[in-house]
Amino acid sequence: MPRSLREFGIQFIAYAMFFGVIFYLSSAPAYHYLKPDQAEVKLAFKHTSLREQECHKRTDEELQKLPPNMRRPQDCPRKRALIYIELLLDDRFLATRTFRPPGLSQDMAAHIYAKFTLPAGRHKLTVRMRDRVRADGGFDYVEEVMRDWIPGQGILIGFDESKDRFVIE
Amino acid sequence: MDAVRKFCNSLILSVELWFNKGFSNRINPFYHLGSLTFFFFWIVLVSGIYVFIFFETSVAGAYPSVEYMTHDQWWLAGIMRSLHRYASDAAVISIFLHMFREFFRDHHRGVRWFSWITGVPTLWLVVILGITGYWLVWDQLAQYVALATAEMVDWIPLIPSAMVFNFLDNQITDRFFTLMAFLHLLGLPVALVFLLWTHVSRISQIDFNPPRPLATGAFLTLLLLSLLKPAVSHAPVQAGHSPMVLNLDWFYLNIYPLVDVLGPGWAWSISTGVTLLLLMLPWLPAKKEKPSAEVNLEHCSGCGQCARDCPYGSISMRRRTDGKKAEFEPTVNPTLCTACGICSGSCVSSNPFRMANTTLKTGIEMPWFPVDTLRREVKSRLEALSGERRVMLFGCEHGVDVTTMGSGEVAVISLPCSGMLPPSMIDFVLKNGADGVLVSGCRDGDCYHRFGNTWTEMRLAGEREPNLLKRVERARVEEFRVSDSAGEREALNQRLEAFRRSLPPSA
Repeated sequence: MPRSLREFGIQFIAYAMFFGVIFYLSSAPAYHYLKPDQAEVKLAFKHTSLREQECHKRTDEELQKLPPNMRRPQDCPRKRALIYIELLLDDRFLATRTFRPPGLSQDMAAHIYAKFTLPAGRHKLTVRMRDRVRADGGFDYVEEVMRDWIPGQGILIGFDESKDRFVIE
Repeated sequence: MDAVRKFCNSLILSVELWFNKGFSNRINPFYHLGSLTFFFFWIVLVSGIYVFIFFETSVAGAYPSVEYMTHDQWWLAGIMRSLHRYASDAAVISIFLHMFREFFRDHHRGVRWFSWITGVPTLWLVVILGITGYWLVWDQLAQYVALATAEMVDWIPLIPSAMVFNFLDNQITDRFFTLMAFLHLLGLPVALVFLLWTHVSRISQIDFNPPRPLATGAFLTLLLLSLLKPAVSHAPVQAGHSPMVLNLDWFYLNIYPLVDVLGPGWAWSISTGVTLLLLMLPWLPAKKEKPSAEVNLEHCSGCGQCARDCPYGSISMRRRTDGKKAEFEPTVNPTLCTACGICSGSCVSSNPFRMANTTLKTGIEMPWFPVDTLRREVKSRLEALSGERRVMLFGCEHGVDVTTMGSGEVAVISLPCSGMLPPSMIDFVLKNGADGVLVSGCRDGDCYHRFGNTWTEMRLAGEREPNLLKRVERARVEEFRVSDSAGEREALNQRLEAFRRSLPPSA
């Protein structure tokens, strides 16, 4: 127990500081993950892109050059194409992302995950993806949706492999 | 690095001096940060056990069960939940203060590196334990934390990236939830206990409990906090909704905004970078310890006092190997010895009246500062003294630097620790021309070598072997324990003068 007013005062200040630091930092300052007029888009799906190079049938001459146990009639380079995704809001760029297929030979399915914010309100959201090497720079999959996005809404964009199309939830 | 540490040390000494005025040296919280952390862990454990009784480990049941505790049984389960959270926060405060203090007070280098190194993974474990606790509530904050954690884990190249998919659109399963509950309730606490045991394994005679007034004050503060600001959950997880405003517990969840702003790569880089820096600190720069204590078996009675007094557990007793009648002999582990010299002061053979005409050999002593050297220095300093009130001032290297305080009437000798002074040396000094002896140690409650002050005080009071003989006139012996900060140096000067004036004339 404090024996004097000074001791009491110092102990009071010390415990008050201890109290105050925990009181405040245990829940403040508030962290604004989204602004009041924002919604969030998450791209999340697993996708295997096409091979970067087409398979080609080996000629007899090519086969003869290979060791006998490696003479497979087709040559299929394992490396797969980069996956390029664009998000557009009302036909204007919102974000782009490129995903490299994982694995030593870059031949595995990529886990696509990215998140973006967009302004709440009625907007057209477009997502398009290129998953093969294309000289024309076009896209292989495109999905558009026009909706009223509400603040704090979480929009999940997946990909249905069975239908080969995006799913916007 | 040394300059920064010394500057911060002087700052922390000033703050602690202020706390000493309010709490007294005995219960100054800065001197009990380790035991306070253990105390907070006890609160966390007890409150956690109570909360677990009502907690349901399933995705659908977790949130309602926590809400029941918070609102329906607020008077006990709610308070326990709040105590659980706030004691965890308090533990982070005491851990970080403890870490900074040990660094600034230079307790982290030399043979003490082990305690420092084993403390670093403890930080990670405590933070992970806290984070998993927030997951269990399964509110919007938990969902945010789970997603951000998964983003961090998925960033690690060696781990196939799929974890984040578990938390999207509320796809989490009960099984995964049970795993988290297991980690928080059993796995991580057991690992923490093991790490803490390792952390303190090289320190002897640990006081795990803070002084009762301090524990009471800290507990009442947390209880008041729990009553005034009960811990509450965020809104429940809602499919298709992202959290907008989160009331983060910044003691545990501070990494996540960093993940959002800079990305998981930077968050990993910063946290691992800080961890690596902490792990390297004992060698930035390394501290060169003096040679460790040496045992001279032919002068050792095997009493074991040195082993009992060693603050670092570096001395152990084993069966006698030299065929003498005594049953045991001490053995020194050099990797644990800080060369403080306390063992030398505790040895009954460190008696300067022995072997008066030859080199004094003692049972255990420091090879770089044997008791014989101390005796010769005492004699030569005493011979140089003159005046009516001649005082021998024994200082401590970690308290006030006494080497510049000598004068015609004051002789000074600095020791690595005041505990190195054998009580019989005081008798010897008084018999060889001094009128008084002043022993200056580290600041009370903050002995650099843990027990130097305590053992000296007990030896002089006749409460611990070896005792100061009763024939020594107590009025001629004074103790004063202060740190080497400017104000306290002056206090030692004043105490020295007052002591000299108070001395009875010598016979």
